[in-house]
Amino acid sequence: MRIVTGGELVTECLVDQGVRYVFSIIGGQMGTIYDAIGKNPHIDVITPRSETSTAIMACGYAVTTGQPAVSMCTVGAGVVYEVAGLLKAWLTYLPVISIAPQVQSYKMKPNQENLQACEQDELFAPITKFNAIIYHWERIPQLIHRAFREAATGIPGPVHLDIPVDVLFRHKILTSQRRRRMLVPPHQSRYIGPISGDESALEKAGETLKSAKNPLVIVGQGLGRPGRFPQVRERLDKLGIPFLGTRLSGGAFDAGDQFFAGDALGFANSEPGKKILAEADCLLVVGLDPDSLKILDRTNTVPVIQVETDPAAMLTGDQTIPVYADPVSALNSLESVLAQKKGRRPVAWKNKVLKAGDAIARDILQQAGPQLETAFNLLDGDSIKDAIFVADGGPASYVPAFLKTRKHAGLHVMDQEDMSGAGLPFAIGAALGNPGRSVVLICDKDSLFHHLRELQPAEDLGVGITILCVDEEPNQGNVANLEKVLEGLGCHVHRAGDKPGIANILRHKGQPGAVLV
Amino acid sequence: MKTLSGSQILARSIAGAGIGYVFTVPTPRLKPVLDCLEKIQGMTVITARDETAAALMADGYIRRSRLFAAVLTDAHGRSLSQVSGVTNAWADKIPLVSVSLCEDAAPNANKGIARSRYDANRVFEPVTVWRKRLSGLADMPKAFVDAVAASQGNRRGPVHLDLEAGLLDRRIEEGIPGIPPEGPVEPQKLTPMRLSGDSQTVDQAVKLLKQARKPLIITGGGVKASRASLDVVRFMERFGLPGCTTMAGIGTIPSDHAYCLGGPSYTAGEAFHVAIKKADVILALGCSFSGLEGFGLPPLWSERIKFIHIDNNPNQIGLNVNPEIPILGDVKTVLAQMAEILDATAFVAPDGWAHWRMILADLKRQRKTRLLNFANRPWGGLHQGSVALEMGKIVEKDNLIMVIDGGNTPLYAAMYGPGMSPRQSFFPFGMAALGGGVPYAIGVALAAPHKRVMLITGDGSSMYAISELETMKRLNLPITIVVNNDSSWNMIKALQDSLFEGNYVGTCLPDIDYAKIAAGFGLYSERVKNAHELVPAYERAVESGGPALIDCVTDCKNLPDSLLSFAMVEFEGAQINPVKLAKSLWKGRDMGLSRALHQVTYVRKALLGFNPSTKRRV
Ligand SMILES: Cc1ncc(C[n+]2csc(CCOP(=O)(O)OP(=O)(O)O)c2C)c(N)n1
Ligand SMILES: [Mg+2]
Repeated sequence: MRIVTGGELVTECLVDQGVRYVFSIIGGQMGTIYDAIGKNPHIDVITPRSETSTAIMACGYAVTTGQPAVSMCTVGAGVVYEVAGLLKAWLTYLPVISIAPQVQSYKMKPNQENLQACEQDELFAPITKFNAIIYHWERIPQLIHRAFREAATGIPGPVHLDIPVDVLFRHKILTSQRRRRMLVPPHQSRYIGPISGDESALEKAGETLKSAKNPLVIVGQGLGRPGRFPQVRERLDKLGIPFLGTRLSGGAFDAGDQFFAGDALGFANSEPGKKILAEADCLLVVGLDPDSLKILDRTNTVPVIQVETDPAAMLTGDQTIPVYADPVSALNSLESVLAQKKGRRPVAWKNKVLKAGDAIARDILQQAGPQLETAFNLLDGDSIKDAIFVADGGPASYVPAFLKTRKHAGLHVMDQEDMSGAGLPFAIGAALGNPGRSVVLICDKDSLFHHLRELQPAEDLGVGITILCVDEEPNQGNVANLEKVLEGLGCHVHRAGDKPGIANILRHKGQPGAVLV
Repeated sequence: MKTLSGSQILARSIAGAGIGYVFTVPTPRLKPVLDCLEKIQGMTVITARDETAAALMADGYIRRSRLFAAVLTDAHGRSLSQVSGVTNAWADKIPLVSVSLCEDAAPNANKGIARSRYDANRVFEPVTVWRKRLSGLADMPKAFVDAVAASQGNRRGPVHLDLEAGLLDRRIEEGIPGIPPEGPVEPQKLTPMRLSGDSQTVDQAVKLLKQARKPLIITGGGVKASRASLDVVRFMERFGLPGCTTMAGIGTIPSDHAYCLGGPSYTAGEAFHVAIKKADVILALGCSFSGLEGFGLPPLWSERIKFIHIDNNPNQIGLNVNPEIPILGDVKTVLAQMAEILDATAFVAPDGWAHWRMILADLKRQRKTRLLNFANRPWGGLHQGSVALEMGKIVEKDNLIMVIDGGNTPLYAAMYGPGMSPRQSFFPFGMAALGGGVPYAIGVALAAPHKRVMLITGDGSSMYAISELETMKRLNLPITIVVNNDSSWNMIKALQDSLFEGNYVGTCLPDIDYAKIAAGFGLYSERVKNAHELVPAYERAVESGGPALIDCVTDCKNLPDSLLSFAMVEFEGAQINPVKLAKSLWKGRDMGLSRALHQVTYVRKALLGFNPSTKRRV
């Protein structure tokens, strides 16, 4: 039996759910949460230098670890900076848990000219899957569990919880009995196992795939990155059908994936790609996303087998064969159907698709320009197979084509339409989640400038990311000398001409390093 | 027939609504719009590095210039990055015109796969006074005119327009009615609403005021909007009334005026606390009784106060305090009405008022001496109070504009800073949000081209918009940034000291050399560790010509005493664990005896109202 504050209860729930880091800038109302975090060895606070970055760092962490990530910003003042960052999680289907304190429960809604407050639940409503105010101490565990459940299940996405300061500071007795009932492990608060799928749907899908001559797989957001479905790569290898990735999934594949043909958008936007799409006679879509939707626009009316973890995401139409299952279960089952097919698998179609993919990538790389070419040459000189890449700004359009034929530990492309300069905080989040790996941010001067400040906490935390940046001479649009700016922020800077050897920098742990090309 | 592109229409619509300043971050889609804007005579386009800062700059520009300005950004994250700036404007009732592009496809509230179909316009709903989504080019000019009008309604504040991005690629015929001509822009000024008070109610107000034994004037941000600062001061002087300001009203009564209680709100310490406990009639001018001031309600304010509340927003009246006499009207106009009646009856302030005023003045004097003595103790290092004092002297001497940012830092600036005029000092009090300092300084500097701007910022806050040092340098703005570098998020660290036994989590910052960072951006910069180095450093900074930064190394053990009052408001209704509190206070002896005594004196004088020496002397 113990007296427990609302903040302690929040912290215990987060630890139970496997949260290692809370990305957060403090506010007084979070006092009890921070106090509890400070006393708990299993959880820590990471403090960036603007709340916009808390959510973006959480994105980078979540997507590269598969572990839950929390973004926590203070009432009003903090959350208004966070909104833009959390939008990234929303647009890229990432289960980031956003938690914020609110002013006193008895005067928070409607707003009463309270200090710092606004109706922040409304602010988040359009860009979160689930959004709630926790009015009672007793309900903290239940609603936190629910937030994790909503974030991770179906099509994942961010969620937001508001907790009024009086609830966070409430002291109540927690008996061991009550504790057992309220604080349960994740597997008891949400379903974590596989979604095996509906047998008849899988059978139908299998038959369709079996009879196809030119099948093509498009892996989209359903991949879910490391944590959710780590075995997808293996399954695709066994399945033996050429596949495309989208901006959200493509970076998970590399030269080691023998059926990986490249980037879906590259196919949709090029002549050889369009030709392949026109020839495909059956599509297997694993987790629809905006890029795969664009592909569907470019193909003929062919059967589409759609694998989703949320039945609500199914396309409607005669050509769709909906399969409600997780990707691993679905691919497993389809593979066993295909295995019954007699004779050797046709390699001509596969080769054709892969060849087209190579040609598309070559074409893209030809436009990359001399500076990026230098950058790529630098990377080629060294082993990058254990490095995680983040691409932002202008280079974001070229890096996938370059990495497609190399081995690496993951690429994350920042969509230039989503927001600006998310790369740096994202890379820092990724580095925190992967202390054993190198993280390389490939970007340009313009995108790097948006969140430059985060180099300071990166250095403080000993996060040794490497920035490979396409520089630009100081000019009217940006008068800063990037080398000097980065050095001022505690970054080791090398010029490409110095022949720095990326390997040296990759090994340079504990301090951000930059190579300017 | 000649046709116009969407970009041309947008540029003309902005100009047509009287907006002559646009803050933006260029993207390929916005580039043609910016080209069109730049061709318009009298239009200024300012490029920021990040959209968050662009919105804050626009807000700062409006606060100082009293002219309309817009922030224009691309969609999604670039649009939602505006939310922080827009919210500051909303909380402080600044008519900012916020514009962004959005998806062409209509919003879809179903939370399925089509994530980009979220309703961006709705995100802005809780923090704007008016919103619109535009899907027709012909509607654009009127939408901007409407937006500007709506920002000046009863509830002044920011407005938001979402423009479907596809509009920019469309064309329409030039002859369509309502399309404004191509420039030049006539910048529209923010105009106060000169609303008279109902004469009978004003009569009653005067009657109540005359009967008062301990009257008090309190001024809020509404006095700035009404441009009534001078009128208030004259009214106070003419009738012998003591006065004070809310945080938002900072500068509406100069804190060094003999009748003023001191710095805004609780930063005036015992003078303010005693005043709001003992006053019987309060003439509240354009103030919202926000949470920052404790809502004008007990426990900090006396229950017996009779309020005369003058405000031109009917929704503000009765929101937090229930005034004896509510007057719907403009502060300047109603004050003139009241003065006229008082003059007509040849009113002479009773002796009691002078006595009351002197008690308060004495409290102010005592506090000031105490604060000065405290900052000037031989600390061995630089005290935050000294930074505010020395810089304040320069601000006063050279008539500079001051922008503040941070947690404790603004409190020090208010407690130790000089008397200010209404448009001389800037901080977003409503949200009390960190990080606006650098962009506000830029916006304010642009609005005051012949003045130097001094930004005093906490170290924690100083980095939010650090990239904009490039903007400062590019525009060669005369801004001096003074960083109060106490290596901590100190306002919150103080809380951990007093409630959580010094369990510092997420509040300590390493020893960061901000001078080095600024030098990287090409700014003149210095690091200062002693009070006597401050002024010479400042002079060298000015000599450098452009923007400069002075990194002042201060001691994180120092706290502004008045923080306690604000904390009481913030944590009202929160259960404080008495055991932890006691342990924390016991541990608090680490801060040293003199600091502890200083804080105890504050509790005794301000919160307990025990000021025997004053009473004896008067
Ligand atoms: C955007 C934002 N985030 C967090 C807070 C909560 N907060 C209030 S004061 C403070 C510390 C500020 O530190 P600094 O800028 O160094 O000023 P100091 O208090 O040290 O003078 C924090 C984190 C806030 N008000 N606004
Ligand atoms: Mg500080």
